[in-house]
Amino acid sequence: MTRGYNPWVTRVGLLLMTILVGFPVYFMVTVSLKQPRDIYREPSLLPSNATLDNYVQLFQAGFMQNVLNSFWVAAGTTVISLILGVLAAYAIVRLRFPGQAAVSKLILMSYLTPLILLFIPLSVVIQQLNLGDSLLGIGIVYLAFTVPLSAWFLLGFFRGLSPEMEEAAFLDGADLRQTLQHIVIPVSAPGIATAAILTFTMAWSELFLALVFLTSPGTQTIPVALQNIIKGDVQNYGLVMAGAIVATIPVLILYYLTQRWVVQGVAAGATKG
Amino acid sequence: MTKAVGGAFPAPPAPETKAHAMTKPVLTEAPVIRRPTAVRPRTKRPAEPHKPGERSRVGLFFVAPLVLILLALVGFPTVASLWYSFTNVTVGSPGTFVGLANYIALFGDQAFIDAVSNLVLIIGVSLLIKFLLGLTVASLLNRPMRARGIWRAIVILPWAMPGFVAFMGWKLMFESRAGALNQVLGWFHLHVDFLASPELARMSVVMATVWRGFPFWVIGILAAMQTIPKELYEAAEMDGAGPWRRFTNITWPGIRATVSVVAVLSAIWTTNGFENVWLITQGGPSSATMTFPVLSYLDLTNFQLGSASAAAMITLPLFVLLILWLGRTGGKEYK
Repeated sequence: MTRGYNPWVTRVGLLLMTILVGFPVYFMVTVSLKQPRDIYREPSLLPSNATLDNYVQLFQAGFMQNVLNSFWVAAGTTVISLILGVLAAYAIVRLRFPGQAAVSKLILMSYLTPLILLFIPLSVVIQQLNLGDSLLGIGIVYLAFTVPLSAWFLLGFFRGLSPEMEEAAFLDGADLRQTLQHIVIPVSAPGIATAAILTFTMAWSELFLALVFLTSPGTQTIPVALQNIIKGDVQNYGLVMAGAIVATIPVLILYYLTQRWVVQGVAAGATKG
Repeated sequence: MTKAVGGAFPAPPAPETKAHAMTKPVLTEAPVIRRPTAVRPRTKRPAEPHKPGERSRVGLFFVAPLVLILLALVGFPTVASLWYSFTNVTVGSPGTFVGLANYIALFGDQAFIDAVSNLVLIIGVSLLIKFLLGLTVASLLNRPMRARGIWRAIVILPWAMPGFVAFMGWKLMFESRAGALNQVLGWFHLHVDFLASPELARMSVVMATVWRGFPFWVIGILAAMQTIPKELYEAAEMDGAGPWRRFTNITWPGIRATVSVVAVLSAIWTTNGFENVWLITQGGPSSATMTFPVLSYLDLTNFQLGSASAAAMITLPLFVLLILWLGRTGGKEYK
């Protein structure tokens, strides 16, 4: 096991890696804790005069509305994507029907289709449906990437699941609905939870489509609201970083809860990078 | 719950288990089985709960909502985009067919030229550095160490956080006065305006893009490395193979398949990336860091749907090539 590995090379390597990853994150946190004047007049890498003012100011300016917008859009698209994804992925892996391979291919193609190919016609259609600048409208548009994402992840997950339990249930006389409800869904709970978290965080963090579709302050999600602060005349980075950290914390908690499954999915290309 | 043995196994007789019902003669012992198809001796597929006709209907019923949604939200817009790119459609007017006019106008646009060269200067360079950095860090994390899980969790951080947070953070890092990089450079009495010149702006976008995306490569390559048996390295070492020989003869063959999948996926997403450029330079200075997604978005904000579609469509052949390559190299999952 110890063939020629110098532990100091490992240690120095890990230190450099931690600095590379950690320094920008550390800096973002310190800036979120500073007054605007401290950020520019006395730049410092240390969190001198640390204060939570930015966070307070952000929520006083109505940031909660943006958080809720992001939450509802992400939660709604996640629920729909999971229902469609579980049904379709289960059918493709376990049942037999004509066009099975074509559906599987359709999911992969949709998953790989760049959003820039889709957003212009979608914006026209959403306008015509009078859903422009609405959470319902953006939620529908998000299904274009959340449905393929969850279906593709669940396809991979179900393929790795042994069919023995389901067979036993069928032999015991359970019908398809009972088997799904009492066997498949409980057994695949970790996979479904991971698909849910991936879908949720993708929708929660999405900027490009939100920028196109959400224009008024009342409908804007977190990324749009923060990019509007950055693009404003006064670039208040303290405020932006406070908002960015508020947006990041739930994502990281969810992410590390399911890290094991996400990491396994990466090798199969099941998650976006 | 009785543990049933899958039909794939030849199932030697074991009188007490219900699994045994699956071999022909003991059928009478299993009164709970209602469907005759369930006890048909099976050779190929496990779990066949329904008759063929029934199965077809159920399967179709299960995938129908997803298929409809994908056709409406992915299939239709792709075709419509292609059509738009040949028309002078604007917001509120369906427009008329103008042939290749949008594409011809695009070819004469400096922003387009920059977007093409940035496919190499930004996208290509980012991918290359992500690969090298990913390989290096994966090799590091593959060394014997305590608490590998914690180190892997650390390295995932840039990729786990929302993309817009990462790129807003890097915009701040590059700030002329308040930015962290210039504060560090200030210790050596240096100062760099990272986003002012075309070359530096490109380099800055590359740096941020790499930081955000390299953990994806690390995880993929590390997972592949850990499937390589350690004995291979020990044997090679005993045969006197140096580090480079061990890499080219053992490590690389073991990770090559994963690397090609990761490379294609990363290429697709990096080419498709919007936030990295939009949040840091918005394509500037002038159009030095322009990429196709940003170009398309800027056209849309000018209500030029036709040329916005052309700018989006122009990368389609590239994606088709990448996806075909994925099908060739990525194993059966991607075929």
